[in-house]
Amino acid sequence: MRRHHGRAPSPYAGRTPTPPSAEVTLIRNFDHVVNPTRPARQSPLATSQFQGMPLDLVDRIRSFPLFHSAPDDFLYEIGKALKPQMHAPNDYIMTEGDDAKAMYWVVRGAVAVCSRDGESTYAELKQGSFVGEIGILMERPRTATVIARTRCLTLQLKKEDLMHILPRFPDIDRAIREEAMERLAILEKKKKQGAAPVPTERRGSKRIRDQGDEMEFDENDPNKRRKSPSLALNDVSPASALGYGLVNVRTLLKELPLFANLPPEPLHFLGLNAQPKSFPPFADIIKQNTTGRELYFVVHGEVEVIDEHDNSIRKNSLPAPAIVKARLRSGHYFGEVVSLSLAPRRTATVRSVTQVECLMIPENVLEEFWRRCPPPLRTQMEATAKQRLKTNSEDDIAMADAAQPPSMTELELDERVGKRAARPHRVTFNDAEMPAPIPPLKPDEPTSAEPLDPDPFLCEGLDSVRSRSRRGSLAPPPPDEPVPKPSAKPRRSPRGSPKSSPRGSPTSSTGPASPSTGLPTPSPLAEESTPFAFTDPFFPPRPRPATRITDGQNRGLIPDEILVLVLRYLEMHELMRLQAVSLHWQNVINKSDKLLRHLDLASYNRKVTDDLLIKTIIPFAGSRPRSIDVSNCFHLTDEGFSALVEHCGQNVTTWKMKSVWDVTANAILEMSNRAKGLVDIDLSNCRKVSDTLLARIIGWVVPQHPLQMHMMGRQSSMRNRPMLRTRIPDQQPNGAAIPPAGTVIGCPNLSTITLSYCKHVTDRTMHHLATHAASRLQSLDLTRCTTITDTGFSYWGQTIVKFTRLRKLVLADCTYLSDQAIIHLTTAAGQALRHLDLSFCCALSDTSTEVIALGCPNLELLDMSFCGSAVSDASLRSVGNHLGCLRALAVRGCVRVTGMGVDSVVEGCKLLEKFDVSQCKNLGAWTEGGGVGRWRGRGRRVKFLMMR
Amino acid sequence: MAETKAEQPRLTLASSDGEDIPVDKDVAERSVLIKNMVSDLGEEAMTEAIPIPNVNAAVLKKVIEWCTHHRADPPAPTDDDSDSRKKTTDIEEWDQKFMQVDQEMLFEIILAANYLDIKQLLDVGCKTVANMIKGKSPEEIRKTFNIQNDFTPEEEDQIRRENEWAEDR
Repeated sequence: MRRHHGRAPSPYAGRTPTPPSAEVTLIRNFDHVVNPTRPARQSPLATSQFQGMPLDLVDRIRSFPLFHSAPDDFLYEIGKALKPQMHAPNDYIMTEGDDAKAMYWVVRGAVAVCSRDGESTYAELKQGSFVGEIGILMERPRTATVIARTRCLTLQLKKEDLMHILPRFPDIDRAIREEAMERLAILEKKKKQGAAPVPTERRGSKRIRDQGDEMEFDENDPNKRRKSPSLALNDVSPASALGYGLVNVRTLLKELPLFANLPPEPLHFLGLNAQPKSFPPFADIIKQNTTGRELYFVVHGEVEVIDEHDNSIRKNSLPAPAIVKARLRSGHYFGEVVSLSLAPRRTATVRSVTQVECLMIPENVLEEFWRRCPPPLRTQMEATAKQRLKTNSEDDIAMADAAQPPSMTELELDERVGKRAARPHRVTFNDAEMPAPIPPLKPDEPTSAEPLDPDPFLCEGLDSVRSRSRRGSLAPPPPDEPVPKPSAKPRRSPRGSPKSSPRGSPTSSTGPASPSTGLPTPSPLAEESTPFAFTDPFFPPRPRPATRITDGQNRGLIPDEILVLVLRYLEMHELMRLQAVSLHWQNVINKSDKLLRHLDLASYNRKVTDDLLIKTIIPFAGSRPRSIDVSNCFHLTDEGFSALVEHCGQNVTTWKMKSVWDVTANAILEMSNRAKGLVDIDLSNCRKVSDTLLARIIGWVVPQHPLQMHMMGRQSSMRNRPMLRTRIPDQQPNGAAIPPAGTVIGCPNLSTITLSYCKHVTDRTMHHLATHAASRLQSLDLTRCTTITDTGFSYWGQTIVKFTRLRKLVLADCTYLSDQAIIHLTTAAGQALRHLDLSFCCALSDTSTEVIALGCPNLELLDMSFCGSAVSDASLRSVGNHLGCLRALAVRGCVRVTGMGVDSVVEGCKLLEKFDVSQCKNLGAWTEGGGVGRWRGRGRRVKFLMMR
Repeated sequence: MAETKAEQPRLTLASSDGEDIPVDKDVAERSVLIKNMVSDLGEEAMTEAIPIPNVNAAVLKKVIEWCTHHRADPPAPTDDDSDSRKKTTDIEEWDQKFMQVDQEMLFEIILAANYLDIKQLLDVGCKTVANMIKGKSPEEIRKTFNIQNDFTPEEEDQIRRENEWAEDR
């Protein structure tokens, strides 16, 4: 039991040279692993006045939204109880259905809230978020599974500790409980909404009950106990942010500048009474000219504000999309004009763009709310509404400008300001070394300016990118400036930067789970030293083609040159069998260099084992293969694979090994060392593929005088850690020397890379590609590489060397990419791209489509299937206007597409051959109205795919 | 075809056995060898017979027959190494009939196609032979091509055992 004396902590207390506790060491180690440039040992001054707690930990705790105003005493108490925990990537932090024993704050890294099997991700939480509080406060099993997305550090607070500390801090106690109750209330309503719409009366009564409970809410309250286990979450939409209690209702409300200064009581009232609502894409939430007085807050998703005033006129004229007045995102609100009785009817239509979740405040609640809250608030809100109404009536899309009083900036028309609203539970770190790449194309694009992390050292962007690159002398040279010098072979120019050079950091302090130990640094220069005990494939001896009699009788009618030509058409197993025809045939089959150029083992995938490979196939194929395909040969392990590499790999230019997931990174690396001429590699679904491996395969050219650069770079960063200078000499792991400048590492001709389903490929690989392979990359498939983010593409956008040869890019299922990524992409490769697949990139908006239309003029194939929020009539119009080379377009499942959009594409894209408009629900009228026939009549032969 | 004949410039090919065979230029140019020769020789090619020393008249006529039928085909894909397409041994009906000749003629056609560099004809010829081999036992193949077995039964058995793994696919 911890006793708290309530004394003011002595400012000198922490300065005693006591050795840091295990926790502190853990945190420092984490920082150190993530960011090698951070000193491993901090100055004693950085220790806080709290005993045993480093200053940054205190700052860290204070940065949690919940504890902003918490007294130091509380932080001290909590700080003592908090247990830092390190999680390796993909560790399970909690599992759905388990008993809740603790809650967690994410201090470093990111966690994903997932379904139980980890397959679908509901939300990703970053630094400062907390998880698991419902479980311990409400005594209920875990509502979701939480998995560490990156290496991350969490602070664990045990239930007993919380229950012990909380009662002494009634304010905090109340804040946490209110928050939890609000989340739970939403959760419950959500559940009910799933079954039937909630009648207002019932909700009213429930409200009273909740209010009664609110203050004397107790762990042991039987009422709560009875309620909690019955909260089955199965019927809540799995994708619902509200449903999983991920939305911090209080923070959400607080985010609105309007409510920022509101006392907790009315906020809590609002939080408890808000009603969650979800809408499918392309649904009208508010219809222009209807009555209705509800106020809506967007929690998740996007909506469009549309003026449909003169729709009737427009129908007869040229098709033009209705005027979109604004696009609102989470944190914005709408519907207040009528709610405040400023207009009799709705002044605009609000339509969902994506799946949208809103908090709806019903009229009666609102009235009650106005009664409870201070009068100036209402005046304020009315002023905002009047302002909007004014702009509305002037039919002016002018954005409200930032000069307005701060509390008024949450105008729905001003997305820029709206997005800036403080959002402390989603702290991201400004990237100090790589400045924001290029400005967004549109000035009103929301910039996610979020509060800076108190930790000035931690730079999430590049740290995570570089963290695993500390591989001694063979780490790819990181580019120091965002852009290398344009002159003089840019691929060579990047050199070790002062801050980023990862080479000199002491490896001794690396944590046990350090990912940097993934590969044991095989030297690419010493290919002959395979680390595998390889048995002679010719043992036991098999009959080798003998040269007994070749006097013609064993040849038959068929001339040798024809025999070889013909045998090329036969598959490997046929060839093997044909050896039995005659000695001569056996000779030809075994020796002709024209045969077995393509060793396709994929068709024998279930038969191929290490043993078969080593005893039969490898001796048969020899070094003849130019391409090897072992896709889906799931029995294959390192043993067989390495033998294949050793004996058949040297001339290979195409290597496909989809789903050969037992083969380790080390063995794949040996392959790339052996097959220096590799052009095309398919590593789809290879579980062991990491950034480090890819960097080594893609390779780089050793820059001039790496050691000198290294030293110079180091000196400028020396101030923080003078210790390191002496360590440089022992930095060469295994005694490997730095290769001379100009040495080519990896496969310099590699230009086609398929990495679909490689979950461990991160932005670091994107960085490497941008730095070392921009000018040679021709085709890249990143299907479902969900760990790649906008940051990865920002590296692309920054390189001076453009991706001038990148013809094909597949980003299917990269669901986290946003418009920013597309903007960077078009900057980097816009001119070159011929084939772009963005299907299921659900986070893109119309902006992306427009950027693509303008930035990728040579595009021939564009797949935007199921990019619901990126494809609308308006964006299709821009496709039609600008993509003149387009031959195939897919907008399958994009519900906002109507005949207007389809017509404008067919009209504009004269070369269009194939147009997939399957499952476009709102295309029915066009289809039935003979849309296809009209184009046929005009001589267009576009093939429309229209599956229902 | 009749009207195009009138307009088509004609070449003369001289077979190895001394026969001159007139042929439309576009038909002859299905052969990359002849096409290159014509473009090298220029006008001379139109007036003088082009010698085809490795192909006799019977085979050359057969090849010209194939080229005439396929004169309007799109050019063969230039990709030399695309092996995947070769694995399929489907042959279109006309070509199948065309290839119903004795083995000697079949091999001659393949050799001629190889020499004259007519990729698609070579393709068809090889596929035809490949189909004669595919799925047959070594004994059947020996019979088909008149090959003498020079393995001992033990050796043959060992080869068979080694390749058993792929048999029941």
